Amino acid sequence: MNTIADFNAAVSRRQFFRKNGIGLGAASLATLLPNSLSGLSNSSIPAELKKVAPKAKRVIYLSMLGAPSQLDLFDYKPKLQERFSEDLSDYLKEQGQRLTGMTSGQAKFPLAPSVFKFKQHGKSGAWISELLPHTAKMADDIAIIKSMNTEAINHEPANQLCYTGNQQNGKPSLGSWLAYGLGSQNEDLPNFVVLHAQHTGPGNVQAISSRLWGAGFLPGKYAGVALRPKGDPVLYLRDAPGIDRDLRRNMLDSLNTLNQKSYDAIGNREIQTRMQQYEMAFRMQASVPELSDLSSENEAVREMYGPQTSTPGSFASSCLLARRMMERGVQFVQIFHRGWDQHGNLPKNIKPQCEDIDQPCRALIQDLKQRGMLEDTLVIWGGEFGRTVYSQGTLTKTNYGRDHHPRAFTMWMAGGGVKGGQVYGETDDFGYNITENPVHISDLHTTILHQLGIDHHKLTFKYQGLDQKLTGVKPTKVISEILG
Amino acid sequence: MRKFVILSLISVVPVVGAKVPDVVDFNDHIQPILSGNCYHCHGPDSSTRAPKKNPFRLDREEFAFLERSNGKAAIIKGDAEASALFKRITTKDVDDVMPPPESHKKPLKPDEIALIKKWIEQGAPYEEHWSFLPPTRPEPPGIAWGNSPLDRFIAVKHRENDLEPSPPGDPSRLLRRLTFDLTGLPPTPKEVASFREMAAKDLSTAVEMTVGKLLTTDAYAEHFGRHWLDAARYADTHGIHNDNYRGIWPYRDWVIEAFRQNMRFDQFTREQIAGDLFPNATLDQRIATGYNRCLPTTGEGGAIEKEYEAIYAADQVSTTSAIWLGLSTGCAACHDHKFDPISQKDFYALTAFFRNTTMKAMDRNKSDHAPVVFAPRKEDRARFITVEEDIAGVEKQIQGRRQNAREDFEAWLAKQLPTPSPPDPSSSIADASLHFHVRAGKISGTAGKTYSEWEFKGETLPTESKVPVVVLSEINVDLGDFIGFQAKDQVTFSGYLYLEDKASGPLLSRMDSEADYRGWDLWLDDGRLGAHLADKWPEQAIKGFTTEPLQPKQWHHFALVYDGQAAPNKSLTIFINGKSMPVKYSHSGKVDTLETKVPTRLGARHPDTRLKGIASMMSLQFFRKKLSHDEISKIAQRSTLNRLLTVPANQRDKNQKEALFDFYADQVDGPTKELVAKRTQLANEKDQLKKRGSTTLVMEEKPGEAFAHILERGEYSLEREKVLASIPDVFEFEQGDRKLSRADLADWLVSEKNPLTARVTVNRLWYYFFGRGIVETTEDFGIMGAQPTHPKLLDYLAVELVESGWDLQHVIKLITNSATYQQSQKTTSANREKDSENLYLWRAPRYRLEAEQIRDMALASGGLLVEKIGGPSVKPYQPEGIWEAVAMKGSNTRHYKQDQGEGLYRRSLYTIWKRTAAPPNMEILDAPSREVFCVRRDRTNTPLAAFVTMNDTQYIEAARALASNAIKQSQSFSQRLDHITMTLMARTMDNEEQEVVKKAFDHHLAYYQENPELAGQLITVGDSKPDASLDQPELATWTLITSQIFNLDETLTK
Repeated sequence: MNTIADFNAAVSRRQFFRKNGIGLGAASLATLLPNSLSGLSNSSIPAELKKVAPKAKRVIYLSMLGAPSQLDLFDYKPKLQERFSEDLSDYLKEQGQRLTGMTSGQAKFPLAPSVFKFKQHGKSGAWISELLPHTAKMADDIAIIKSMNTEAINHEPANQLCYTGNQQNGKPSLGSWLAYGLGSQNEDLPNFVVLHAQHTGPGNVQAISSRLWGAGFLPGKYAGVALRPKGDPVLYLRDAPGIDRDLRRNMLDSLNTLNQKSYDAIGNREIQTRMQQYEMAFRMQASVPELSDLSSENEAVREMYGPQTSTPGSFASSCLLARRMMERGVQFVQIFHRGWDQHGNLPKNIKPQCEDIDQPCRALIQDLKQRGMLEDTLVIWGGEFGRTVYSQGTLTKTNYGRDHHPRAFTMWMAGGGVKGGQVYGETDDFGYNITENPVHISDLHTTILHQLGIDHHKLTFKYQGLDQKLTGVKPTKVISEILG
Repeated sequence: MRKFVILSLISVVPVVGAKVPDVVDFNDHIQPILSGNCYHCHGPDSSTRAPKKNPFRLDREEFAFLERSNGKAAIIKGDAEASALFKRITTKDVDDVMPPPESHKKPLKPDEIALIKKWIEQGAPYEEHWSFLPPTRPEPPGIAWGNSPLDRFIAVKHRENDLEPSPPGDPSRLLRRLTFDLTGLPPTPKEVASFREMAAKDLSTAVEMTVGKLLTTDAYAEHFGRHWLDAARYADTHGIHNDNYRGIWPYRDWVIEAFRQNMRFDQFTREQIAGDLFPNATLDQRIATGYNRCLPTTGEGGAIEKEYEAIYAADQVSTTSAIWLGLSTGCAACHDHKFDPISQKDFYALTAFFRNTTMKAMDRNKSDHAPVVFAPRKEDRARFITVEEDIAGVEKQIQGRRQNAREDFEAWLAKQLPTPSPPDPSSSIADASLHFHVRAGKISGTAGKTYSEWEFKGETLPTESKVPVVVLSEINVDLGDFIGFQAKDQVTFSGYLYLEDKASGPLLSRMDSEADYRGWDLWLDDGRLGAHLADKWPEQAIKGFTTEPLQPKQWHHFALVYDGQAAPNKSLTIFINGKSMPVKYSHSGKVDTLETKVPTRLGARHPDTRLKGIASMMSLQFFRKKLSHDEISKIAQRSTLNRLLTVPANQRDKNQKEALFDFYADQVDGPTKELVAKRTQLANEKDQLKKRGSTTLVMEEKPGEAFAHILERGEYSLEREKVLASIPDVFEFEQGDRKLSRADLADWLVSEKNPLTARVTVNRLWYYFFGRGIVETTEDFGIMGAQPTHPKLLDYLAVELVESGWDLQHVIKLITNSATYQQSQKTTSANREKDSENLYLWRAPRYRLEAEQIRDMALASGGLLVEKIGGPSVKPYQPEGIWEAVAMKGSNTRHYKQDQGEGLYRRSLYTIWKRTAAPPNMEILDAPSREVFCVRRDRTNTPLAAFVTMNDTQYIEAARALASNAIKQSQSFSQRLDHITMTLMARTMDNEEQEVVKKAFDHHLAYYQENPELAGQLITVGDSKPDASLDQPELATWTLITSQIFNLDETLTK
């Protein structure tokens, strides 16, 4: 079946436009239409991209913007307690590591051991801070990577590297690459959805730019769609005041009839595509609100995610929403949680941040597990870099701040073929340099693609004459040791 | 190691059945294969060239035939079988096959192998890449089709591809497309009618006349200006981190004006790249250089200047290369270009042109990140100059009156009685005062009713009253909980200040330098008086100073007013001797609290931060209110006056007498008062003109030669060889011994020696009309860019552009007057099968309008559009929370405050563009984010786009406006419908279509009559009011019908 004419012969117009009063069902649309008609004709899945034995079918990325302190959460350094306030100036000079403009003028770099208590958890004996009691309980579900590293030392470039694979502007985001590479599983919902979760920690809040979920040089339809907690969950989704479902359906039927007439006269395929998009819009008007309505979740589930579950836009409700999307075939959900940039008053300010995310993170993993979805859903947690072992500003026994530190930081992954209950990578006594198994951000990207069955070399898009890739030009590797 | 060796017993893939042309062309056939498969390791990039020991280069003729280590060349002309190149691409041996498996490239296809074989057999001729050869005027082919030479080039390709061109399209649809292409707006029904009439007589003349007329409209200038702003990545915010406002809209207006005047494109180029370097550059020429300032910049606290300088320079070069040269030079930031002959050195030599600027890397989140100029509104330009002259004139008169006021002064003075020990007029209302006279090693102060004393051990100055006063230098007096106030308070400090020379440091402070510097201080900066107020230094902090230092060795009265209710950058007012001084702010972030536990200190901020230099104070008073200018001058002058009058007349020295005269002249003399009032009025007028205008970012060269360092792998910290600004080696350019500047770059871009600019420019114009360039990759004319579909036509147009005197409108006319452009949009199945993408233009283009065109159509159709050129950007309807979702707490673009009135209805190019959150109703329709250059927009077709045009307030309101007009114009259903479709689609509907609409209409009307509350809701969408005289259900019905017609594919498509 190649041409529109064939298609029209197969489905009568009446059938096409009306099915139970809400337009064509998703399944029939997907099966009846050649792929090239469901969007831009030149932007379907790259021909060379054959998925090989995917372990994961979908991804949830929990992005802690601002960079959580690995030293206060996961990277336990008990020996530092004895070296409280030791000046690291000379050590830092030896390292040759550049400092940000915020601390480069500091006269002293006093060593700041974490004020938080750590305990070992799970069969791997992973050290986890008292700040994350719920995460501690799922130590056997997650693989903690203590040896993450990046080149960027400030938020903007680091976020871009982390979420677009490149420090420069104009590159597609991770989710856009996936949407482009995976194709859609659901005709009623976008394939790449972004959620902005509210945070309660005070302090320096980083800006965030739509470039972190933008399509860059990929066709715009691969851009992440941000679901909003207030107002319309998708921009302009709700019919204008005074237009109800019945009127809208009637209007679309009339619109379709006229568009079909145009198509008959002109023969331009874009007309057909437009008709489909209006139909999908109509379906989304039902499917998106249904998706965002958490009231249908049973009480036990809501309790598991914690008291914030009923607050729209909270991290808890975002996690639950993410799970609902996973069930409905959305393939990539990214939750951005800001407020982790603790240059000062870290011990105080990190607490509410951890409270925001700790219980919902575990709930999400348990919820997926209970539904048998964890094995093919990859979950990633982490920020764009780490934080320094020395204090920014004055160090006291109970208070300190930490500057940006790109050389070593911690992330965790779960599900989607990742072997839980392990700690990967090690850092030196200061948590400053990686001593074992470094993992670069691009390695993380390579691994995400690999788990989805995609060879990162083959996920390319021709732009400016080059086969552009998410993972760039330098060699990268799959973190195979953490995989089951 | 891989080596080119002659292999025995190699198995060769048979070359059968592949289609190979009789004559193999290097550029058309061979280059694409080599560049896609071989150049990565055997091309221009020296760093990845293989094998490492004896690199082999295939991209240039001079290297391809050199002897290799085995004594043979890789290509032996005429003998494919003997050429190692051929053997290596055909072998099945995985150790030897090219491209090698680890390159992740697939083996060459049989027809590619066949082409290479034939090419070698034909002698393996190389050619320079087509776009690097200068264009020459080709002879139009002798084919009789169409009405211009341009059509004959098109017709050749029709023939070659066995395509039948289409007849002229329906005149109405043609006019609609033409009007959108030229002005971004739809034609009015009247224009459609008159065009049809003309076209019936002679289509060519009708088009020619209409084009001539449309090119003179402001709408044309706005529409083509907007195309240019996409390329120049114009936006109203910085783009990075805080993403604050930036003052640069005068550059946007300059672009519009340039199109309005049809400025020659070479001039347009020169002024934007280097207008500041013109001899006696005009204000406009300086504004034009805003092009170089449209890039995103940062003020992020920890950002490293050198890193951003490298990022900015790379952005400038990438943008300029894409717009003028069609080259993706950005690749050469990290390594020699993989495919094009642009080396890393070339790239950095280009960055040098842009690095030699006075612009600082950190923009400090300021809208007027220097260098800037002030640009009044166009219509205010003349008055802006004369008002300054008028002010100078009155100033002169005031000075003149001073000369003549002596006599009146003496008369007045004779009548003044000295008041012995006059009461200080302010002491009764002060909330705290501090006395600096040192008595018995102590200083004293009063806060409310509490009197306190503090020990003082520092140095002192003698005074007239014989009691010495403190010297504030190098002291630290802890005053305890003496003066405190909050961020939202309004307070005034008043006192006397004496400087020996230009002292610097804290006078009085209450600030915790260990907790983000929270608190406040009075501070001297090189003799300039000012203050810090900080919540969190430096983002949430205010720092402002007088622009001029205090006179040394003199006592001054000063008053500093902090107004916590005012905008941070207007919160400080500083008076010296009763006169308000200009205050310059280096920081003006929002301050939420000043709460701190540290004590107030005199002469110090932290025990370690002390005042340097000699300064002294007397009678400091603190008011928990904002004293007015008048009150302050009275305090200043009256107290001075009283002090002076106590001195007997015959004992007054010259300074004292002059101070009395100043008082008289400023506060007593009638004629002066009148002049001062006049000056105030003029100053207010000037303020108004200033407010209407804007500072605008411009480019400015710094002294010295333009240079850069090669950065290894593009890393700012890995500086290598220093290079001077120069033109890439591949281009012909006479440099001689000259050091180059941006002016040379600008000249070269539009010089005859540059083979690219004219081609790239006409190609972009072509793209505006046909939706696809002759070279599809409008940004890339390099080896990996698309091949031109009509190479000769491209050169023909390029030559026409240059020979017409770089007249863009000349080329536009050539395009629009062609039969190619005027064809029908209809498709035929025969043509569709051969060329479904319409590459060879057998029909007119037909694709969705751009975001701005769609919105502007809506506004124009209902008569809502406000036709006004330029000015500050506007804020039309936008869903709530779009800016908040991305903004930082301290950003001044965190909250979107929608405009009222005309700001809602301006053309879309005036909508404010925040880079981190572009206007959603346009971004969804593929408007670029303006973070990087865009010379080719996406055209997607998504459900999200359907939501915009169906539900966005702007569109519903516009539909209602058009529906109202339709109802008011006529009575019958079909006449009303005609009005709507004529306005939106430039045609009336046939009977069958009308029936479809009528059916929907009857349904909606019955529905709204049954549910009048729904009708009421629909017709009140938007800020403008519905016509109360119209029947509500009927108006609602027509509104929905209009919305339906607006959403037709035909309406959204050009």
